Amino acid sequence: MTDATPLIETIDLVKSYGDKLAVDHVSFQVYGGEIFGFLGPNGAGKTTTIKTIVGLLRPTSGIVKVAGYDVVLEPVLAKAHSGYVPDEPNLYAKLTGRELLRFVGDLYGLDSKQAAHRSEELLRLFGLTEAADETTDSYSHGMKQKASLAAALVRDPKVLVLDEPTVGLDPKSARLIKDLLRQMAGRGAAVMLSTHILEIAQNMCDRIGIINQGKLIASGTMDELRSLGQEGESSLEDIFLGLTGGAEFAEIAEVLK
Amino acid sequence: MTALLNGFRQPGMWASVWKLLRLQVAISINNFKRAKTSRKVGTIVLWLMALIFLGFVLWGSIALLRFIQTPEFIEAAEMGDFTGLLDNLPTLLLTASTLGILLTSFSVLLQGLYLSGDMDFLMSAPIPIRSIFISKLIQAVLPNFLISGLFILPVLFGLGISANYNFLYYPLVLVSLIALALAAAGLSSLLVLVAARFFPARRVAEVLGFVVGTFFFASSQMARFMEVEEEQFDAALSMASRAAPVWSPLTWVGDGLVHIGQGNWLPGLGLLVLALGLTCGIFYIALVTAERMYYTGWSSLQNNRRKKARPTNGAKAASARSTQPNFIARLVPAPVRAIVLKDLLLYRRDLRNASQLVTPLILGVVYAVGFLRTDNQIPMGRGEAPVIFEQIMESLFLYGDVALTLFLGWMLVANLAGLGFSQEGKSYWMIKSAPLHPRTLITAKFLVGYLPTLAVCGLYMLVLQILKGSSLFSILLSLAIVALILAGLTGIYLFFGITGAKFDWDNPQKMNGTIGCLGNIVGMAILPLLFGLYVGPAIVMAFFDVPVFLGQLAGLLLGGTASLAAGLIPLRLAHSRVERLNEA
Repeated sequence: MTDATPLIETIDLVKSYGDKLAVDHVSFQVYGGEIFGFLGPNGAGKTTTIKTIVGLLRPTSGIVKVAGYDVVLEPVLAKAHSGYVPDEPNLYAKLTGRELLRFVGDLYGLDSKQAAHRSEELLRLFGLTEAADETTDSYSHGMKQKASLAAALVRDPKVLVLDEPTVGLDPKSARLIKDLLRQMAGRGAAVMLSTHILEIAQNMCDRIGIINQGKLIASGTMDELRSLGQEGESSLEDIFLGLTGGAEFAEIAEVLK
Repeated sequence: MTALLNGFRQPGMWASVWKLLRLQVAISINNFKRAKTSRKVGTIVLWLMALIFLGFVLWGSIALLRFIQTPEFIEAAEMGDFTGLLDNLPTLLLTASTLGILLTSFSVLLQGLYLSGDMDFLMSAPIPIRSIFISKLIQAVLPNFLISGLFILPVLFGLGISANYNFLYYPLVLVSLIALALAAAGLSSLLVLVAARFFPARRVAEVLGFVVGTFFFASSQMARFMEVEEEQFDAALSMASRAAPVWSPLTWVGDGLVHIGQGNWLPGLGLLVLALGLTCGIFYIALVTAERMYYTGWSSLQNNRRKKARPTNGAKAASARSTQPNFIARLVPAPVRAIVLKDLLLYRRDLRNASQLVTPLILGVVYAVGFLRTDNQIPMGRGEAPVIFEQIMESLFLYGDVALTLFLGWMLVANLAGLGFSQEGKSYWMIKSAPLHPRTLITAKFLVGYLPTLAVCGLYMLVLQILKGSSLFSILLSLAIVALILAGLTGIYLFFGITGAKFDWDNPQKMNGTIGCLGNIVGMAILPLLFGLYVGPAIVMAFFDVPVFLGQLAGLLLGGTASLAAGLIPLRLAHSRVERLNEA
């Protein structure tokens, strides 16, 4: 069940790097209680859009709001309500997993006892307890990804934004994350995730937005997207490739035969 | 696709080695082509200078070696016959070269085998694994071999020319150097693999870099206090003449070369064949063993073992943290505390940072020793300076310990504050996505730069003052001056660190240049200016017979105001810059 007020909202968002328009008048909303999937080919503008939402990039124009707060005018309040998991988990190499979570807890003003308790819970949940006292530079990619997610969850944010969260995770961990995200949405949080794995988007997400070359070309539930696609396109893959012009990739398959 | 595979021929080992080395040459050429013009010119100039240096060493060694064998020199120097030393010279130089390569190729092989990131790609390619190891050994040896060759080869050739050695001597010198270098690299690779078995490769590289760098820097600074006596020199010379143990293969090579040069073919060839055979054997065994250790994963075992987690009581740890003094909790907000503690922890653990902080400490100790030796007396000149100049110098010298402390503090602050933001590196996203006001972040980074510097400099100042026998007032005044000037410096360097912040680095050395030319100039200029504001009033007032302490208090007021302004104003200006950090 979704809340009426969008917890993530972009209105005519534009982000350009000199002459290059990375995000071109993108508008969408994500409501509390739903998981919004953000799909697009490589270089479409997904990561740029996500970075403007979490405050890592300043929009060139347009409005971005998180939990009702404008990320440009009230950045601190907006960030206080959101958690972010990047696609590349660059963590502090010389902090242990435990220290990293405690640090994030302190950064967000959590009570130290509460932060410690929550950290231990998350470490246990993600199977990082054994490695919790080792520095993160000794972690595998999957472990870093899990540590990054744990850091975002340490204070149970109302808005969670994830960029390719399941890359590098084993099936058990990937399933765990899906269940977690579903639980968060169930508790009223707004979850936005970008992914290349269309099965995840199809099975997990309540609504999906498809971005291509900086423009949001489609947005809605699976049924709504099917109505946009051509006749016979029932899977998200078909719809996605149809909308983003993936037919030319069939030529590559021919060459490889 | 199948047709392509049908035509595949397994490459030979040496063909594969050649391909891999050619790849490295292509990479080097590409790096050169893509470099800035200034760097290209610099590289060419460096190579030309190396060639000129090679020629100079060759000519110099020929001349020197001929000269020390003349009867006139032997009689004048009263050091006896040098024949023994000259006969042992090849052995000594080959030993130095071999040991040097053994030690230096360790870090290069560590990088090449574990940290360069290309081993997985190469090992999965359809080329013999041995060819990968041979090419890695050659890559490890080559730079250090070229450097040692720059010094050793011309000296050995010079020896041959000055002693009229046989022409075969020269190519055999080259062959011997190459064979010994490869054997040393082979042994070094075994050491690398053994080290990697017990410690993470990255950690070994960090510790090695830190220890070696600190050792050489400390030695170079301490050398200024060393005085070599004539007896010590004679003893060293005598030892060098006899330092060639019979059982050492390096002695066999050295002696073999000398015999060949002198035309004693049988002993010469015998010794050389024996030594080089042994050397090649060592290289082969080391190569095969290293390859096996790497391929079987023996040396990677430590990466798959985790220490059993000690049962930690999270609640216990949290309650320990929550008993931090309440006044600290009230005075310093949690996010500021978190960032300060995090940064101090990272500085302590990352030895790449530690080496940048240890260097100023070494310099501080060296200069402190030099200063204390002067016993508060200004260096005696020729007595031609005006009296007033001498009086000013004497007054300034009274504050010499403050100046030294500030010099130490300046170096520390430039690193801690100047690189405070850049240190975040690619992890900066965690700070940027957190709900922090710019002033919170600036406050935290200011404390990271200021507090450790103040602690170290305060202690340093205290020790100097106690050793000088200063009064309590003098100690307190000096500490106040140091504390205030350091605050000003921290603000300035932090400002330039913010404006020039670099986050996209993998190697901490890439942070160099954060502060920029202007930042360095301002930092260097502001230090003597602030120092002058503190000590100037006291010196000037002394000429008007005003009590010294009044002058010192006036200096404290003037300098203190200037220091606080220097520290706070730039940081206020940097607020808006902090909000936009790391945004394209």
